[in-house]
Amino acid sequence: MTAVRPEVADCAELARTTARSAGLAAGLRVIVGAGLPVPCSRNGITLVPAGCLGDVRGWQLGGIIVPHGSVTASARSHPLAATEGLEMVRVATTGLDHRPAPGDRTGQQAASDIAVLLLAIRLGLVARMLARATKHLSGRQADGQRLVELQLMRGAIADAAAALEAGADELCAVLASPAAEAPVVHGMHARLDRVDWSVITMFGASGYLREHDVRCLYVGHLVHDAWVGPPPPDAPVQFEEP
Amino acid sequence: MELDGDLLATQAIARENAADLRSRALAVDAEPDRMEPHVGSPGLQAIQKVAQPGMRCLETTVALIELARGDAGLVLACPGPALAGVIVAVLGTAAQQEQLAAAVANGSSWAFFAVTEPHAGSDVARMRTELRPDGCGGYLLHGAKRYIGNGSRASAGVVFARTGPGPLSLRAALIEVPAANLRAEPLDMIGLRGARISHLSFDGVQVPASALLGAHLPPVRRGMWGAIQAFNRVRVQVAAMAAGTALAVYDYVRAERTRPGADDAAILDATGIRIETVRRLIYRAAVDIDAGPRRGYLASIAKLEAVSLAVEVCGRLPALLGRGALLEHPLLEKWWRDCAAFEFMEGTSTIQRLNVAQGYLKGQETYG
Repeated sequence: MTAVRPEVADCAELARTTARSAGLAAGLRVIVGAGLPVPCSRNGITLVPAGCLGDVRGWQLGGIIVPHGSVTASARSHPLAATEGLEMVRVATTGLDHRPAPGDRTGQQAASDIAVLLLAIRLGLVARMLARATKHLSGRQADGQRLVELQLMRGAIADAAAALEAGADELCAVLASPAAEAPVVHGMHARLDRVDWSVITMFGASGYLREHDVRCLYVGHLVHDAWVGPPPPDAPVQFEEP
Repeated sequence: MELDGDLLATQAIARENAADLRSRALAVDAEPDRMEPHVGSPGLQAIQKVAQPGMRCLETTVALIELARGDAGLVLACPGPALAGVIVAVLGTAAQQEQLAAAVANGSSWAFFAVTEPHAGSDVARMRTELRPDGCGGYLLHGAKRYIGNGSRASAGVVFARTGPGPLSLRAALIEVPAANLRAEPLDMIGLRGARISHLSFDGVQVPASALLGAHLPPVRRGMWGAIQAFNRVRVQVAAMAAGTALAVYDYVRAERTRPGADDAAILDATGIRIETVRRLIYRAAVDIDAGPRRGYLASIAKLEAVSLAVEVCGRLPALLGRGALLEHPLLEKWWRDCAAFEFMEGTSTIQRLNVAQGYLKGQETYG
């Protein structure tokens, strides 16, 4: 399939491969470096890669895009995000100057692009962690069998692998459509939420340590919350069994 | 099922104190070692009142759901005998029960319950920690335990270890802390930080023979027999805390979202119904444990369902408050981090599924 917006498709591929090889913060830097405005909560709170404020060109605040020069951004403590190389910031406009940021993106288009690019990052992260999880499961035993050989575990690994393969194709399909449909993208994020949790549980309690690499999936959930948020009103929050 | 008057009174006391626990939740999460401002508070006193060893499982469960509705982190941060009290009540003599009670009697001391090991998890068949004879009638404890609640600040604890290779060699020892050759370090966890989850190393800790639990019981009832009873009971308690945490998130979102649209109102209503359904299931599991402490089928189902509920509600319901809700509302973010812990406590969901399948195949289902 040919991407309708090749610049977004290129960015998505770079973000996915960067996240897979170098982690969440590195993947997010790709998005920030591409000049996309960073989304914030209603009160201007968001997460960004540590030390990248100089690279941010604009912010999505309440549905409009505000240039970085028109805001003050103050760092807030967030210990879990910090372990993954991110910092929490609160962004506030300095006055009434809400001129659009350079470029021709509307707030809606930018939000749509961000949701797609974060999807690419999450696919890269969960692929990285699934590979790590299978290695972990290969090194542990129960009832004389390696955990990776147990049927319950194999089922979980298969489901996660299938979701990754399907997710990669869905991402291509979204990039090939004239406008990424929000319900589709939100549905893909919801599926990744379930895959994230499945992969997290493969590490057992060791994955609940802050020092463990799988924390990237926890922090990725927070970034999704701040950068993408809930589905639009015509796509209700999906409540399904994990 | 309907709660009787005594249980409703217990539930009311716990519910009244939930707000106090909630007001302390973020402070304890940020500084779990700084408990002085919280010890003796109304919320912690309420926890200590309902966490007495020997209470009916149903009574503890009814209270725990409401207390965790305040904050499960505070419940687990509360000084007292905690899970050690459960196992000492099952396996200990009256003197050992008094010894544990005395170790935490000042209201500001903790006890731990140590089963999980770094390489074997909670798989007791692969447990490596050993009680080696010291040549004088006692034992020397060697090994390590991991993910032990309050392990780094306890004044006493129960450690499971082997006296030999056979299936009857699994024993529980009541030890007092500090002890020579025992090293305890807190672990930096993602959530439920009030529980001060720790790593314990034993490098020849002296354990007198009188510290072994179950010496007054027949050999087949000294180790695993008691451990299984404790696990079943504790699984119901973990389920209660998971459901309570889901309720905390539900209450919070419902209070903030005063005028939800039709779609969001429907989601809230459906969530409320699901929580109450799981609550009833947990009550049934508690009643089953009170009837037969070795019946773990419903306990495992309750934990499976409650953890699934908590993960779903804590992860997704905050979205009703808009983009960035987890960053805007630190309590919601904390409860979302906390809820993952319930998956790993007292057997993962994979372990619970295996228990449920085994129970079902043995004809232990309770419906129809």
